[in-house]
Amino acid sequence: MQKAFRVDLNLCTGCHACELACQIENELPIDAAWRTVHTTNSANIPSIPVIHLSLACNHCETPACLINCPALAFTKEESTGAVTIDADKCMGCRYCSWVCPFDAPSFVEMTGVMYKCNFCHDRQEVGLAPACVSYCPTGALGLQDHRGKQAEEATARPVGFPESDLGPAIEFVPFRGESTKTAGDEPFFSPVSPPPPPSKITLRSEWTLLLFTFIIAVLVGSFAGLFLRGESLHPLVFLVPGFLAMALSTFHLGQPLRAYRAILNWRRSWLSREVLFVSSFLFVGGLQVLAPWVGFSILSESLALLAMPLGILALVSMDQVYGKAATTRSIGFHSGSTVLVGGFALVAILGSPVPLVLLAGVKGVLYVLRQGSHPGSGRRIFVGFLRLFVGLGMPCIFAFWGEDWRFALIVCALFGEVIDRAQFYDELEIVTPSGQLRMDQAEFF
Amino acid sequence: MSEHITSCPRNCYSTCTMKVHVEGGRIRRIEPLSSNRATPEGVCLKGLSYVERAHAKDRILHPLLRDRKTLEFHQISWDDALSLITDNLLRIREESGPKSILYYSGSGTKGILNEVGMNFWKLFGGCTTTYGDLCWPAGLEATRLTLGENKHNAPWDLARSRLIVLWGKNAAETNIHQMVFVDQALQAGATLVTIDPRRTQTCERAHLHLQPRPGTDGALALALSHLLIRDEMIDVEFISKHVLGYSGFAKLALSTSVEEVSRICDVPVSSIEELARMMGSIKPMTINCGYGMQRYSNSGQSIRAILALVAITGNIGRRGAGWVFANLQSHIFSDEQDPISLYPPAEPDPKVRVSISTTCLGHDMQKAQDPPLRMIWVERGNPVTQNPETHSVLEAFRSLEFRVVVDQFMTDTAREADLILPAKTLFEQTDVINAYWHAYVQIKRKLLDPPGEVKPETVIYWELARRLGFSESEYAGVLPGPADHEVEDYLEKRLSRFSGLSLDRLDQGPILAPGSEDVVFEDLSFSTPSGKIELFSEEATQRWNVDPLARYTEPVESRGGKNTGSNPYPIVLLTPNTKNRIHSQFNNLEMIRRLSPKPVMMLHPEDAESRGIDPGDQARVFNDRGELTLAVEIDGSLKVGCAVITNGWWISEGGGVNFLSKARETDMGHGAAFHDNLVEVARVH
Repeated sequence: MQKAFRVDLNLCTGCHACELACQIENELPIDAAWRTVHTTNSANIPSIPVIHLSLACNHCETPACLINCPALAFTKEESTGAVTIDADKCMGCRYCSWVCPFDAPSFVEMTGVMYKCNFCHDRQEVGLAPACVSYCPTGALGLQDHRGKQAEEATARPVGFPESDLGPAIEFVPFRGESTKTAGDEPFFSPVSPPPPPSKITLRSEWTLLLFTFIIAVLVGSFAGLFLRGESLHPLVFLVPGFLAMALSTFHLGQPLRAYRAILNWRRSWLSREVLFVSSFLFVGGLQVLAPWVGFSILSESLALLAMPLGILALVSMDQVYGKAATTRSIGFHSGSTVLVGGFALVAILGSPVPLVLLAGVKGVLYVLRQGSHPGSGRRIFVGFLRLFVGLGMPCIFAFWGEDWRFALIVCALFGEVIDRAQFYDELEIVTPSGQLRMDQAEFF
Repeated sequence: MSEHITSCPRNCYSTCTMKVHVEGGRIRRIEPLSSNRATPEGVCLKGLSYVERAHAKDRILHPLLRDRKTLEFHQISWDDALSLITDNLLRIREESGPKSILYYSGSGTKGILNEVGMNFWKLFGGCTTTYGDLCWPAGLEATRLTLGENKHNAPWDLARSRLIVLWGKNAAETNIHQMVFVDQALQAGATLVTIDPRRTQTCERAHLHLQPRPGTDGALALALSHLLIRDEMIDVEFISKHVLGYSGFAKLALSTSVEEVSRICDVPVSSIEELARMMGSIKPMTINCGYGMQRYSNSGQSIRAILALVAITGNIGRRGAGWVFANLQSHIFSDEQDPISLYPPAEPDPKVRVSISTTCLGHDMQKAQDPPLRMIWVERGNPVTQNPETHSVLEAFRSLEFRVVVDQFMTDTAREADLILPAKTLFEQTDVINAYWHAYVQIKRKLLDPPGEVKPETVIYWELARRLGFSESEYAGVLPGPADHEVEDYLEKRLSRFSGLSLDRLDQGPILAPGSEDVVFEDLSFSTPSGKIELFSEEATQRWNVDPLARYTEPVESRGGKNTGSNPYPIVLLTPNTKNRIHSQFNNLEMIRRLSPKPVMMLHPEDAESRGIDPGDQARVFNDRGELTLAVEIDGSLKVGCAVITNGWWISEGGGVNFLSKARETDMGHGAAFHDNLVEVARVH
């Protein structure tokens, strides 16, 4: 039977005992509790309620972490619906924290793997409620049978609770406090916004992933481009970046030795598929570039014809990996997608003006659209100019100037694509309750 | 793993029962026990943090002696420590008599065994000790004068109330378990009113929230009485039968102008009228005053004025109705009840000099003559941080020859000691405790052997008595021996006066004190001189030299009084309690510190802006008595003209709020008027 948390917003006073109960029960380090109390209106602005939202993992009906985990580290327990993680199976890729809008799984540096609320599954097995529920001093936290959709429709989404279609097993008793009146005319003042919660994906922390995806996209594009030109990459130019990309993606893991687990969930996880297709592409592509050097030129063409679809599937998978993330703005088809980076690398290699201008036009429009929809884009005007003029405009010009300018064309194109991809990472933001709270609060002001 | 029933002995309303799991000699987890009807759901975060506190890394585990030259502490043996104490005790007693030793005990832990300290000093030949109390005496005395005694309906009775007035009480932080009953009442359609210059978590659930200027509660209460009487919303029959002094009180109330009170309190007339309407029309009503609002120089009279609201509306002796302040029904082990037990005895004890006001500790210590003080013994307390006027307390401490402090941690007071003796925790000696919100008597069980060289205070006293040369016959029955069974025998003897109480029975769970009632004053007889509720009290005038009626006077330090304009200190500093601590306990634990890493001062945005202070800036808060520098945070709902720093920060953490407070007693009860405290705030550049 799927169990669910019940949170009574009238009874919760924000005492933080639940966090401590969780930390003690699960013997977690200080500040590593699997439950967090989120508080609205921390500046105590008159006429806006202060509500505490105590959240842990919601043990969803269709858990995004479980579905998207490449390493099959998650389990959904029959008896309680608890979504648990097996630390011995986790390779520490952190992808689950990208797909969960509730910020449930978190990475622990010390062990290099993810941890999350296990619904106190062991306690529940012996008839006890989870520690946070048992120890709540006011009974604001409860445990009950999950009522699914029926409950979701019955209660309004409280401030700070992210919307999702995952079937979170949590129910709220809505806050009754609207009737509160404060005597006197309270002067209005500009609220002090709480600092934005740290974004889970930042360029600074994910530069290895930027390089990995960028290298693969360029390799796929140039591999195809050169093949169409009837040329072939020097094995070192293919193998060294390819090897580097794989190494980067592996060392990005908390547990690199468990990298082999990455392909286990190929049935459901785009991350598994990405790993599968990227390594197949590199393997087959590697054989293709080596073939002439070891006297197997005869296989070159068939290997290339095999490598190219694998490469395209790799790039599609990569884009899907990001598409499945619980991002604050839906990603869609954008100018920095790996498919387009690969595509532009291809036309840049080909150097023929018409396809280049056409694609550059499409990318330019997509880029401007993405920038326009991103708040704070004003600050990025200079970067945007570089990206558009140097990265798209110049290659088009060079293409018309002919083959002599091919090298400059490629350099400019690569430059532009790096900027685009980097900005994409910089703009990525994952939905979290604290981020949601900030957004919901902004509506009050 | 073993499971035990015990209780939390902190100075706190809730006094929770705890089911403690012990595993491998360590406290593993602390579960609730539902048979305590007042705290069935779970202990607060401080209770949970005992898991850390019992085994804290910074616990004092050995006697520590301070080197007079380097001022550093170093470990010494118990033998050396006890010899040093004995030598000093004998020498000082010989030279200037036992009264030159001050025995200071605070409210750090509850228990019958706390009395053993005074037993020892009496055996020793006497000592000097304190009177009064930092916490609640003004309200206790006001209640005693009005109702005869301090008791109230059971905590769970609040759920039956239709109108709940939480007056200066932030139950969400200081009595979280009460919020369950508040919620039950609200679910059943009750109305909640909160009165507080702050907007606390408790106020969040209120239908009406009044924010009077600090210290003006008495005026507000008189205005409410005015409206209730004027609009004939009072219980005439109840008044005629059970209230003394109504006509005089009515005259006082009716002569109080509501508009004038609105100005004094800075609360709109419409809000006062709305509250009066509620009080006149919604029954039963419970008024629950907190302890912070009675820490002003006028608050005994304020509480009497608020009590009158309960009396004239006939809200007493009924379910869901009444006056909630302190419920001393479980205080059955002492012969004298608070607040009388807090006062200097009517007949001076020849051995024990009760001459030091706890509130004026520093000044009175320095003023003591015949003999002057030479030594202090501190246990269960942290007076350097917690008593008013820290500078004077420090000065008094430092003028003494020999200072012994018994504590678990290196508090500000322990830092001032010559000799620190390691103190037990609640898990290291069996005791029996009472409460002041519910009426349960509870066991506090020994679950662990004291770590390191920790000895419970009773053991220290027992060993000292032997070293001082007292024979077993002299201390038998007065000081329990060191063995667990001797402590238990001592407790059993104290319990044996009451049928139904024994350690074995208490091991099963909390027991309501014999004779305690769920609904008090049901027979409407009051142990006042007149047998009625006294709105006119001669004793008030005789004992405290105040008006026999609850006439309103401004607090001594008041920015609304005559000295407006010229006062260089325009901000009222409030130093309330927080959910994160019990006074100065708990914040040294990592589990708590993560929630309150450093002291902060809350200011209203207007007050911050007019001083050029942005959130996060460092600011100096100061008056003639002292100053502190700390970070400012903005509280958009705080009363303008108030600053808030929670009390209990250690000086070593940068937050000793009592550098700023004045050693000034409340108008009655010998309490501390902590909140009569005007300051100025300035940005630190």
